[in-house]
Amino acid sequence: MAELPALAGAEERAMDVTRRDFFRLSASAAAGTAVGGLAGLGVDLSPAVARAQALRIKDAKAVPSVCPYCAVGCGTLVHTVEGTIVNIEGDPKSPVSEGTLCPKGAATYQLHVNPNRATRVLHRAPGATEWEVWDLERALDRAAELVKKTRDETFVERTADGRPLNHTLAIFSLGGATMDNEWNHVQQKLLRGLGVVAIENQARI
Amino acid sequence: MRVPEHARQRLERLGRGTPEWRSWLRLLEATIAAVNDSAWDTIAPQLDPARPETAPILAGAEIAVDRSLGRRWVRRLLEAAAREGGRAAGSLGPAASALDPHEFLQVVVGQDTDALTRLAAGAGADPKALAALGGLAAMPLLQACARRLADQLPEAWSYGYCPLCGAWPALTEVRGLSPSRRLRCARCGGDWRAEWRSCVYCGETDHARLGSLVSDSHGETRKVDTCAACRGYLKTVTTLAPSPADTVALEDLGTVDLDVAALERGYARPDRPGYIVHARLVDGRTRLARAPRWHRVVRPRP
Repeated sequence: MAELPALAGAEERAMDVTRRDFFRLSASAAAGTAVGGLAGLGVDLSPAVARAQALRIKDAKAVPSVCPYCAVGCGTLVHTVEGTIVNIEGDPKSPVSEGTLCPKGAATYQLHVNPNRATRVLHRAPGATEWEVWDLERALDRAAELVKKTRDETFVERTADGRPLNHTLAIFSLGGATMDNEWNHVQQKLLRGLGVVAIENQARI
Repeated sequence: MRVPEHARQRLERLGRGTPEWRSWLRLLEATIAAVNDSAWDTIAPQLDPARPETAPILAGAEIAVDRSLGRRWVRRLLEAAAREGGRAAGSLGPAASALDPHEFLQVVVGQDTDALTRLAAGAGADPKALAALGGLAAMPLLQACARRLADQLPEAWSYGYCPLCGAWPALTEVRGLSPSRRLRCARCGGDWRAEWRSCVYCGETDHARLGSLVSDSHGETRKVDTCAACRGYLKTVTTLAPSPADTVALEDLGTVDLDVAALERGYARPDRPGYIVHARLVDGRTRLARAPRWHRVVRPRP
């Protein structure tokens, strides 16, 4: 993260700030506030300026979001400093959760920053004892290949008495709560198209 | 007149941490003592029933206050400021006798900055020094009004300025275990709920335009909320319980480093007051003398 200018020359800068900014406070802006009172009476603000510079202030943003874990959809606030997530907490403005989160939701930050989080595709072949790192494209191709193979081998087009059926009972889809509405919609379309009937999602309370 | 223990402890802490502010702290101490002087509880505010819904309750009000009480307080404050204050405060000593204290109180209670500038020019006082004192001068009267009118404050208040006196809040308290966002007025001690993630000055709610200035040491518990739309800022502190009305000004002083950080980055509080209430001060004794004598019993002649 970028640092603010160093404290070197802070005294000189403090004098500048005092003259340039504080004495420019209008009478209205000065009235009724401590900083206005101090500036208005000509109290020395240089120590306050030095203290402010020692605070190492950073610009932060809070972006409203939704907890990824379950169907309650608690509101979260994702705090970022210069584009990096520094904290995720409950959003008090959320009508669903009013700022509260369950222990799992409160740990959402670790979903992003946890060093133990798997960020590459790991494959363990049948009978193997070691994980192998796969390229994502290769893994997706392999999953598609197996889905197609299983579906083709198990697809039932008609019942014994000839009525159309068009399904497979060999594939089951279990979705996670991190899948949003749009993903679930597409997932449903794809799997119904393949004839999969066992489609489930854990996101329910 | 005495300073309550909670305020005294806060004053002492501030004095130890920021010895360069001793002069301002002495003025604050005198103000807090005046705020807690029961003599101010004799004021009688009469509200304007025709005030608009957006107006604070003191808008257009007529406040009966003992003229001698106001005069003594304003004189004492101005003389103390001239004695204690920094280089800009020297002009306040002569102004103490040239200024009409009753008019000064009326102007600072109403936040009429144009009238304040005129008063300062007439009395030969530095306008910014007089404005700085104005915030303190209004506190005893406004906090007495707040005590008297507590049951008449609107339950829901969706504006950024104080529902009682129309001032912009001095700071925000994120308060309690199930936190609520409360705005605090340093003048009257006002305490009202505000929407999360909205600018109190311009109403901006787009999160992309709202931000915070946070420090490494305090994080979200002591920060400045900023608005890129109006370039306004407001300090925010996290607290379990509300600051007592008479110490909001001390909390404001204890967070001046945050003001400085915001000003350094080009943010500012609004140039104009939140709402100019145009309250009128009348002499309490005169008004009471003119009041109808409802208590008189007229006995029929035998």
